[in-house]
Amino acid sequence: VVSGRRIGAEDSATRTRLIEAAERLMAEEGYAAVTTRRLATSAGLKPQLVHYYFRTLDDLFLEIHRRVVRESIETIRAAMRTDNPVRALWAYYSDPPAAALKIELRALANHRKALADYVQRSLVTIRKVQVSCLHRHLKSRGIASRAEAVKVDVAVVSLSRFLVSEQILGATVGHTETSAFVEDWLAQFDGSGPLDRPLWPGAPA
Amino acid sequence: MISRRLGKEDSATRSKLLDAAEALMVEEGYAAVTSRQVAKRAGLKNQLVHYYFRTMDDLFLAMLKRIEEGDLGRLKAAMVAENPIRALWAFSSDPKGAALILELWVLGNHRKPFRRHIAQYMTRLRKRQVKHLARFFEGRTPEPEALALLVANLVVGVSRPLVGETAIGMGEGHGEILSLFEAYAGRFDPPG
Repeated sequence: VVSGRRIGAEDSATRTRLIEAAERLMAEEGYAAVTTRRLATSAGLKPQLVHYYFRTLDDLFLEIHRRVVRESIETIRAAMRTDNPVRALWAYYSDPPAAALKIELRALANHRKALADYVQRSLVTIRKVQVSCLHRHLKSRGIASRAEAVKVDVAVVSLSRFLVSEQILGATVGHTETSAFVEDWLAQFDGSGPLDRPLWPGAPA
Repeated sequence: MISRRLGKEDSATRSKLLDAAEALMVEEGYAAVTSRQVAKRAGLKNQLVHYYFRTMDDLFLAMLKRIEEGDLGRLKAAMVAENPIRALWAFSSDPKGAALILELWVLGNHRKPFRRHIAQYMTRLRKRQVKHLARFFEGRTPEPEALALLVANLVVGVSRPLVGETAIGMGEGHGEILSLFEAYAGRFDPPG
């Protein structure tokens, strides 16, 4: 229950509409396109309504980030319940529109302290959620070390994010070779039971 | 259209303006890079910005060109190292470079015609990295070029996002992935 606030209620459909419109604008045209006027036009609402729900644009950016994090954690948890959670995690981070929005938020966080603290905390939370899910899965496949789950998580998240950011730009040197390698690596997690080949091909034991 | 005289490319003032624009990009974002702000940051008059750059797009292009020249120079110096795989990891982990590249990426999302230039820059840089690695793999593997394409993407692709995380104080998991990288990279260390 929101009380004693002079701004619009958090559960309002209008507020959600504004956040969704802002997310779209940000992903498609960049953070600088998210102005009160453009946002109102894009949501089909009056400009005054933007400030009725969000005191400042920073409040709006923070709210977008909160929503992205909430959705990420839900999606990641669901991905981890599938047969090949590593593949599901890779697919989740490789979605171009979602990646574009996250890249925009990360760039914004570089210049806005309030957002930076929140991004830092949420990245830690997301990494912990992923690692604990991956750890549970890998244990069931015969790999008990938590450090291995951490390595799988960082490798999957970093590399998928990097490749999709280049793919959006249209810079794809070596992507075919890399995708083939990744596909082969992900395939080892298909099926069930103990993994039958080294987790890290070619690495010294 | 009457062509207007522009300031020389090697002028110290021009490079001061580009320094100011880069600093603004990193600290405040591309939206803060206006002729007024750039001039103010450089401690110069507004009109000077347009004496050196016809439009702000030209300024962004000049910035990108300078970044590429710097990168290619640093890369060439780095890749003569005994272990170019470690050198490439270090090269792509430069924190200043990472923040600027991220900001150029979002600038390209906002100004779509600019996106092509960033893609071309990244393509040329990756090709150069691949060329250096392929030369190193020559004689060690049947297909040096294919291995170089893969290794360049794995090394840059895993290390680059970590720099952005470090920049905002997130280091969770970095030690583990670094030890995995060390295990791979160590195989190419010179003996002794």
